Amino acid sequence: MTSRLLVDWVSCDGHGLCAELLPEAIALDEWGFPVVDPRPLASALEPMARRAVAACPTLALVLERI
Amino acid sequence: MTGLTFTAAPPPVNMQTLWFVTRAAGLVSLALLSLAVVLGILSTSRAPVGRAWPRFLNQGLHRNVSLIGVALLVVHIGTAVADDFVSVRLRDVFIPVGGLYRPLWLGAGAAAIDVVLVVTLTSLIRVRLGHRTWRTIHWAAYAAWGLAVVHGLGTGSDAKLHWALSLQAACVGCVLVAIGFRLTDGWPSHRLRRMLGAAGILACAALVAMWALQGPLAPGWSHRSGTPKPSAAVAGR
Repeated sequence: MTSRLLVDWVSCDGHGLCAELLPEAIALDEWGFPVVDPRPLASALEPMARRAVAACPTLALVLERI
Repeated sequence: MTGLTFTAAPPPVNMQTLWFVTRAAGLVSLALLSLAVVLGILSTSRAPVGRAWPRFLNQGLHRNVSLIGVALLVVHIGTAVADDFVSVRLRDVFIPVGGLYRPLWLGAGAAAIDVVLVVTLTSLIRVRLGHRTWRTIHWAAYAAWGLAVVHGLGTGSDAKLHWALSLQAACVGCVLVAIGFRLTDGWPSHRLRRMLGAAGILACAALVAMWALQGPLAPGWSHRSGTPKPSAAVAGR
């Protein structure tokens, strides 16, 4: 059971908390919007990914099971 | 010492422990929830911050400080109901009218509690609720904070003490400064809304300040606010 991160671009406001909490999979572009690693997430990172999802101020970060 | 003096001795001081805990927990929860409001306001900002203070810190602190503040509110309310120095019934905690002790100002506290309950519970299910609905409800936190300040001034037994007054003034000052920051951060988008907000906040602050000077901070407040006669409280023991 693996999962990957998705960004709901309609909701994302570029607060940038996700990149602070999960730099292993998320970087910020020059405008402060997330650039997400498209590969499936390493299972060791999942707890941190869930925290990043819960921290998103606009609930724009989604952890999708694949 | 003889047995007679023992039985005739006055009740120990700690008969009023619960009442003191109520007052202390009320003041400390006001301070914590004011801090929570300030942190909540700061976490809405996208203004760049240094590496030493990452953005998730504001939000994480906001959540944790809020929960600690709510926990202290439970202590504040639990001890107020358990204590029989003043008659606060369980219904008075949630129903803002019909209280027995300074009814109007106890009511402000009850109204604040109702809002805090809604704001806390909706925040716990934020992911299910959706961002828009959650955020609309979360605006009510400002009202809860204002009601809590009025409740503290109106019912607070210690509201007139210099240090307590300074604490309350500091809480109000910090929140007002944070609101000022919120209103200017990102200017000039939503210019009209920001100006209306500023006017509303200043009007509310002026009204509460005028009321405080003529009400709780003026002599004779405990009589005017509807404090039951001491004899009645003692007879109820």
